[in-house]
Amino acid sequence: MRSFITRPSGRVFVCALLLTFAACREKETPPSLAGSQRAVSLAPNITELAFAVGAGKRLVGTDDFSDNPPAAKPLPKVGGTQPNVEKIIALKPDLVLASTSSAPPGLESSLRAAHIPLAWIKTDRLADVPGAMTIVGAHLGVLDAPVYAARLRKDIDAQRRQRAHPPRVMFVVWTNPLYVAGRETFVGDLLELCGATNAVTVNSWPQYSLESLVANPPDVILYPNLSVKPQAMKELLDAAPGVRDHARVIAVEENVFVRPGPRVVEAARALNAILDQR
Amino acid sequence: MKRAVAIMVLLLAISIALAVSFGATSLSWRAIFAGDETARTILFRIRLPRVLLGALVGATLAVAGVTFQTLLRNPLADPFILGVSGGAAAGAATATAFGLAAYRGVVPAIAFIGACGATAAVFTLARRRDYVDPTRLLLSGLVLNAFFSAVILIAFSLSKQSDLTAALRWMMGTLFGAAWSDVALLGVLLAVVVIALAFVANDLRMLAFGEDDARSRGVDVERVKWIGFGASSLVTGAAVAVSGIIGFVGLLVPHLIRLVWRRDFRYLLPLSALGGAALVVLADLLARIAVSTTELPIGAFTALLGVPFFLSLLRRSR
Amino acid sequence: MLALRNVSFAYGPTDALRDISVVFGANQLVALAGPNGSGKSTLLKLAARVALPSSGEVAYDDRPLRDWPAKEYAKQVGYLPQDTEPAFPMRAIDVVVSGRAPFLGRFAWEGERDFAEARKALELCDATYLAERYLDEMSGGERKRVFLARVLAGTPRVILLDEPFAALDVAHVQQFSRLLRDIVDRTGSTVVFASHDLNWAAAYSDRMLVMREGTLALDAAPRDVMRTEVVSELFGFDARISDGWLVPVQR
Repeated sequence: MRSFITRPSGRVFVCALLLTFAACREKETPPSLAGSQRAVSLAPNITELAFAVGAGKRLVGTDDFSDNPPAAKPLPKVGGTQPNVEKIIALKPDLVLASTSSAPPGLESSLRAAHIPLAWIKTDRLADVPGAMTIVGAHLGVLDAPVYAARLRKDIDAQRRQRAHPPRVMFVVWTNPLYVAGRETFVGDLLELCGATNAVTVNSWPQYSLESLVANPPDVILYPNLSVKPQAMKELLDAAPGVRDHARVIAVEENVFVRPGPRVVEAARALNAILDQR
Repeated sequence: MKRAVAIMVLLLAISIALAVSFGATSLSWRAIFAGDETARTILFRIRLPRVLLGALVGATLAVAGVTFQTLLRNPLADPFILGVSGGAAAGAATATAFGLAAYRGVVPAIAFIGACGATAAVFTLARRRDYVDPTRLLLSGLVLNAFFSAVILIAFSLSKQSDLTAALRWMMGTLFGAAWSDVALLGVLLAVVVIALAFVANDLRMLAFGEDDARSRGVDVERVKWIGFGASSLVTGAAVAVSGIIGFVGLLVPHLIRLVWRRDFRYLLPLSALGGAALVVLADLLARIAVSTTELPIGAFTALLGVPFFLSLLRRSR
Repeated sequence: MLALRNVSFAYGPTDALRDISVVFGANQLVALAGPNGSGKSTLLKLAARVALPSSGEVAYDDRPLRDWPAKEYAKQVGYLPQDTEPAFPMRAIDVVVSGRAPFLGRFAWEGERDFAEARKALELCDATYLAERYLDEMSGGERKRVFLARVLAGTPRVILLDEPFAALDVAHVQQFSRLLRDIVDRTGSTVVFASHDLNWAAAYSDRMLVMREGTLALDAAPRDVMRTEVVSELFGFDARISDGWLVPVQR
């Protein structure tokens, strides 16, 4: 299999397969064979995926939050959570890449009205990321995209751990009220990859009760360093006596942990380092 | 009257007992008596203050509701519908968004200012020559609520300390993280306000017949209005500052009490306070245990109960 | 007993009352007549201490009103405004007993004595049968009688009524007029009522005050007011008197 993909004919075949597959899904915009020359990315993880496959130069614009790699910073910005369609149009793109989890409603119809093709990229789970890399690459005309994706998959798997006594880890998203990362989410998958048990047993991003936190404190509490301030964390811990004694509370790099992109490996590495120290 | 108070006290006691007994975690009473640290922490530092704060918030909103209804001679008045809760939340949220929560007492004080501002605004907007037009009252409340929601959203959008997610906490109301200091603050304020209202309770009752009529009977109408509006705004501000906007309690409770008992303000004041306390305690209990480890927003429950009730009242009064 | 001396009142820039002087003695049924806007309501309000005069003085038993404590004055003078409607439905007995408010201390509840006075008042107004009924289950006439009973429950010596006949049908107006006469005769109190209906104003009264544009145009016995030339001059319409009843004449 590996040798098939490294040969040029193999790659073309895979790309053709991808194109056919993509074309069969009506809602999706099929990648053109040559790939987009002027694309706009509406999510920072999509931007990172684009640069990771070497197609950064094909991007003519990004959303406000795309700040990585450094080369993405100077690219024209089209808006944050609410991208400005006029600004998008002004860049004369031939493709817009949006994330299924963060695009605002109405985007599709506005772009269709402007005759700009829109491609949806889904990265809800950790397992989606290598596949997303391939799809982004295909859209941007990178024939090697599957290779990069395979390498990413390999690097992710290299971070997989089995631990004899899996630590219970909680990822806090907001403190007042307390919201956490549940199972079957990207962050949840990350915790499981590194051999931890998610202290939260329900799915999605639920609100968590203080009582449960005090009754069953996790071994490690992680929180994103940009959205949650140390002061907020302190207030939460003050309201839940006893948790500080039991848990290590660690701030993590938000843009690495919460973006389902190529840096997920970095996140896993950091998490493993945290969990290796007991 | 004594019988009514006894019944309501019993109802409240049962509600509190239930709420303290159930929660996201199941507590064993034996463990608590045996001195289990964790169980005690959960009971005394998390569950009990939360239940008591809920009772105080409910009592406060019901008292404010009854007072507004009497002062404005409108059965649909309630701190949320009038926009007073919204004003308090806008004040508290803005103060929090710009980092003032670190200083003790600032947030409740600004919430009070917001509540007073809203009361003044709604009263001015709805007033015709010598009476308060009920339709204009409701419309003003509606418009003010929209305005205050916008203020909250913008404050958090601009805030460097926080972001938009925090707005939800204010707009939907929650008793999460209730602390004994919150219980003390609201408890003291509520006691002060209830005493003040008890002083003018007879006069407030007379106001229900009209301002001129009350004046002819020796009521100092201006003074009573200042005390009534001032007390209600103060206590609404404090309740919203600790728990966000919890709507419809001030509407539901006085009406339910009126259905069963008297319509006289002197009865309604204590009975509504007890009833409001019981309602919020029970609503919060549901919010805490409906789904395991997760909490539902309490404001949503009171709205689910309150809106159909409000609509039926509206239909009957037209 | 109740005296207004050179009383004037202005709502903002408009004068509602101009230099009114009038004295009300005991045991009188006085009608306050005049077109809308002539100042009848305002005069009653000033007498009831609902508003304060811009100039001049109102005195009761030779003491100016400002020297009377509010509750004490309320025990002497009762007032029924034109629209009294409690915001929430109540039973008649509860409405009437609330008229005892000036007699209650700050934290007191109504006692046996208060309920007894309330029932007496209801009886005086022929409304005993209405005691346990809710206001919204009554006719306009019945409601008015309950509110009159409420005023009477305070056993005032002077009773001021603003347009008590408004919104009553003819049968009830007659009944109510006779009731007022009855009250004056039975209790010796003074009743002053405003009415824009000249006929009913005159029917049972001892005295008629005619107001015009904020001044007191005439203060006389009803038969001296109900004359064709007087009516024509004061009210500007032509009428003839038939059996003591004013009938407008078409030209």
